[in-house]
Amino acid sequence: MLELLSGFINNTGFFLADYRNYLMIAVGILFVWLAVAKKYEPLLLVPIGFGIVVGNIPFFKGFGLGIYEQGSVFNYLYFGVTTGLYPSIIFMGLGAMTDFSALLARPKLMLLGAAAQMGVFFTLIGALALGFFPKEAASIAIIGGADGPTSIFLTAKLAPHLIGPIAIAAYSYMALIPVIQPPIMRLLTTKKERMIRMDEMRDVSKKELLIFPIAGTILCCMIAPTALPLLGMLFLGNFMKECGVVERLAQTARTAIVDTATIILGFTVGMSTQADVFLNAKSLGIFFLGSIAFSLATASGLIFAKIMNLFSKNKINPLIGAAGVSAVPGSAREVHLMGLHEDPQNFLLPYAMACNSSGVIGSAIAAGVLWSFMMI
Amino acid sequence: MYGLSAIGAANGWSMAILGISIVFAGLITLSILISQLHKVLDFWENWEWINGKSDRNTDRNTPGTAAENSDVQLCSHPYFCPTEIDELTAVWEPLVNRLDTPFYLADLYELARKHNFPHPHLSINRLRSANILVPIGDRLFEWNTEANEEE
Repeated sequence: MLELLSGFINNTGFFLADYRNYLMIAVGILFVWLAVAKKYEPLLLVPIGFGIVVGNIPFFKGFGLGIYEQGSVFNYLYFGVTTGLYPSIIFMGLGAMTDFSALLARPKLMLLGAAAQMGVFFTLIGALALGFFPKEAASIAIIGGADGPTSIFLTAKLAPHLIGPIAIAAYSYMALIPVIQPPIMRLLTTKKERMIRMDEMRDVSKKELLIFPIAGTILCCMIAPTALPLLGMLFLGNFMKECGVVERLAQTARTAIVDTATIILGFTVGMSTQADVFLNAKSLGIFFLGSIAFSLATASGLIFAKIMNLFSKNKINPLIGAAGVSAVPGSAREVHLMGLHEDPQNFLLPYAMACNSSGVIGSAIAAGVLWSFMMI
Repeated sequence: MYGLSAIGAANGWSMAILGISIVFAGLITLSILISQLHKVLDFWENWEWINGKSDRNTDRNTPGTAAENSDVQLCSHPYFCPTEIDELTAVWEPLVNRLDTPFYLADLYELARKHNFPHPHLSINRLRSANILVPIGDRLFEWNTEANEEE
């Protein structure tokens, strides 16, 4: 009996845990607290935070419990992450939610979405300089796109062993947009620039909205075919939304399907941060480079908007450039709030959303381009 | 390997320059395409020889159609923006009545855009200047019908 009791105790989490497990459980609880108390991206941080807590309960290896153990329930759920399945599904839902009319009305704003991707490629250089292998550097760099699903997708293809830290870094910085972006916006713009009012948008016809996803798919995927799983699904979702004849499918894509994928993706990514594989110097380097990537992407968008103003008759509010990262809709909301703070009559939200949606397309192309480079 | 030698060995500079160029090229091409799209559509719909229509204005999918077919006829013409404040008030009042009081300007703006109201930004600004849209704090506004009657 004593032997049985001793064996049971030896298998409990309390016996197997070391300080790293407790540290990661504390991180998970911090994520959940940020989501619940501070309302920082709760849809993402609740499943991720809870996943971190669950993933760091230690267990006896060989029971088929862990996310990295073949045949375990969590390993099956994690399959959608490692194959890039969930990011594609989320992109379809995102497409079914996105209204591209603001972007179609002001196509010039698409350049700001492209400019923000410069942060990705600057970070690629930084990561290489710090000694990361090219495939790891590319996966870290895409954090600058501020798009969780894209980061996970590319990392799954290039450096699957880094999915945990990269996904956590990407989603953490997305959640911390209200903390990270406003100081950069204030630093790089003057009060006068922040008060610039944008020209009114022209109205966009239904036919334009219908043609855009088809034209976008053909053009973007011809340029970077490796972006097909993301952009193909994004534009499929958007076409379902705009065509008006499959409203039931579009509704399901933007609600039940995207929510299911988000829950499982967030939870399994959180679980993948098991202390023994997560807590190392590489993860710290990824977090450091991720913050640099995100800040550079924000700054690139802002600076490019200012450069455009030098050559343009119709001035652009440079704050909108900060929404060129594809953190939808967090960064657009931050831009709008800062615009309102300076001038309560200045509604920047539609313009910022246009940049945001071009950022989604831009980051998917950037991911496709990086993947192509690594295959050559 | 670290530093510049690591960047050089992995073709880092070339990848960065080429990567930025490809992303820009892709999005610039897409933006040019969509900036011309409405012109191409307009040209197509107005080309009688192709679509064989005698009446250019029938069955056009112009932005005005949405407003004209909407459940309420809020504006006589989508591109018509009243110059007189009384007229502007009369056009906007039915829209405001659809919102709860007090309301956020952002909601009014969204509703105006949904119904293809012309120049919503400008119109809201004029209504504010005329003290018809009155701020009551916390970014909430009220429709001041008395100001309208006084005028």
